Amino acid sequence: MSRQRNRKVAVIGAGVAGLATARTLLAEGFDCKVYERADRLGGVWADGYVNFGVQVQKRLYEFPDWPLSPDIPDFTPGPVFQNYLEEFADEFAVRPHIQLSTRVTGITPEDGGNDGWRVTWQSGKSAKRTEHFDHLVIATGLYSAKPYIPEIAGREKFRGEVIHNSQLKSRNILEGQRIAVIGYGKSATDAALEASAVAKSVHLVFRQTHWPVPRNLAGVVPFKWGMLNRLTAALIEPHMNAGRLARTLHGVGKPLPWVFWRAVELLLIVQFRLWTRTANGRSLIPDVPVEIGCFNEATMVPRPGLYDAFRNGSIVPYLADVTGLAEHAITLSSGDTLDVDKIVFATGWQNDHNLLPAEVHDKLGRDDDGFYLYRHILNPDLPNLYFIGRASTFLSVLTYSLQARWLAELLKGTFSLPAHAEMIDEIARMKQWKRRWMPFNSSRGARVLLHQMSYHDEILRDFGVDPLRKRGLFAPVKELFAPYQSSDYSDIVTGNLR
Amino acid sequence: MAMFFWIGTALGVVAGMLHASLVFRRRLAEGSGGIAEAVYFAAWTIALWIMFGAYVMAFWIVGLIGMALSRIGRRARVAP
Repeated sequence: MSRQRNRKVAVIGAGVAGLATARTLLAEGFDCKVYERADRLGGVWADGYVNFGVQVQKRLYEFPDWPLSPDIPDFTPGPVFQNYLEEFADEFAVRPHIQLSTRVTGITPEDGGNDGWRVTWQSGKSAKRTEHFDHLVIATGLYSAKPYIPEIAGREKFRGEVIHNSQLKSRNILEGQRIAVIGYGKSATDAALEASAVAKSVHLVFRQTHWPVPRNLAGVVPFKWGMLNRLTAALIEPHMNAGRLARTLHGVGKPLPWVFWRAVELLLIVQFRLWTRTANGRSLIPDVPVEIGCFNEATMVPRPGLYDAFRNGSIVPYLADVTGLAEHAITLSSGDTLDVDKIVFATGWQNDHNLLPAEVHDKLGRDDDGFYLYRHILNPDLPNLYFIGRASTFLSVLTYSLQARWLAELLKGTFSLPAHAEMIDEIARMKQWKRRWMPFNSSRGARVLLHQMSYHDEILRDFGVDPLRKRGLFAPVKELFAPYQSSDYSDIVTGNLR
Repeated sequence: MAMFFWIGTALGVVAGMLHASLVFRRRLAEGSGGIAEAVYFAAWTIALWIMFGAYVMAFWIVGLIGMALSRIGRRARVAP
């Protein structure tokens, strides 16, 4: 079945990835329908916890050709970003193609996907309907909407309240109480800071420390200058398709990246005063080197004041496992017992795609570290099925916009996929490469993070575009030292492929 | 000190030439500016290596010593 002739596309999810996909495909003349379970668009941005927001500077987290307004704060608050997505949907005429409050209840491949996909959906309480599409795009993100709360012994004995951080819509529900927050990612530290403003006491319990990324390096230079340029990209673990130069740098040149990352660690230790001890006497300095640790999913840019709160006691940190619950207490592997009235689990989301039928799951694989895709977009055994938004980077709005452009160019026939065996081999090599050094978690298959530059380069090369986007007299120097951000790709996402 | 600087710069020239040849070939294949753009990028590559060659060598030596010390430190911690 020719991709070019078949132009009817279903997109599941109207978050950033779904909107970017629909906008791009509609502009290329595809007939696109977007199904969104919630009653408003925006995905994770439609319904966040109290005071949630974007953790990176706004120029890193916006659509490449639709910049956030100058009067918006540098770290965009969640509701403001959701409003920005609403405006995006109107500006690019995506809204008429979105069906809100519509649950996709099933998807079925026709002739294994070769003849497209049948999508069954239900709007509100109306009867289920089924429609045929030539292509199906899953844009529901990395995780399901089901909160992950670990099983803990004695849970039934606990007389206080247990909530997931996604239920924390107002800090008032924490007022005057003894709170324990479990986790050490961005949402956990946000919840602890919210609690510290109103609660009687706040404990933050985590079993692993992570290197925090400061908003500004040494309090002065935005972190993008230190982390999102090609020089830094060359100093991390070489990409699986790295060229001769990168391999040399990490061979005979190994002392150079080593000394660079030790200097980064020193800077982070001094800036955040990580020598601070937890309440159970453990160090906040992670065991894992920063160049590996920054590929952990829990990498975070904490809100200012977090580490000060540790030091002044308004948040009491414990580096330990939660081993059990009692009536009004939690017990830790360190032997400590904490008296608490409410526990906030900021432990993430379950990782499932339960709308996919078993035969699709079988082909995607059921590995513990999630499924791996060719270019983080497709599985060669599932024709006409694409995942947009299954690649975690620091600049996800940009990444999803580029993925959407890649898909549009593929469907238009600008380029062809490599042979089936070649894609299978590429996926196998990616598995091997990531498992050799990248920290484990249930979505490792989709993790890109600091390798985003190589990933963006790769997908641009696929449709024949020069990956070097810096312009001007000093372009060669800018390529090396200047950070890459959304605006560098503004012409690409509009289809101006130069 | 002057000797160190000149050795670093000389190494920078060699590394720069090798790097520039890679950059030149890649720019020629991927860039839209043709041979002029490829030469321009290659020239910058050589210039940067010459300018920073001595510093790169200094950091390489510091890194080498640091790596060796940290390896010795790790062994000492692991040893019974």
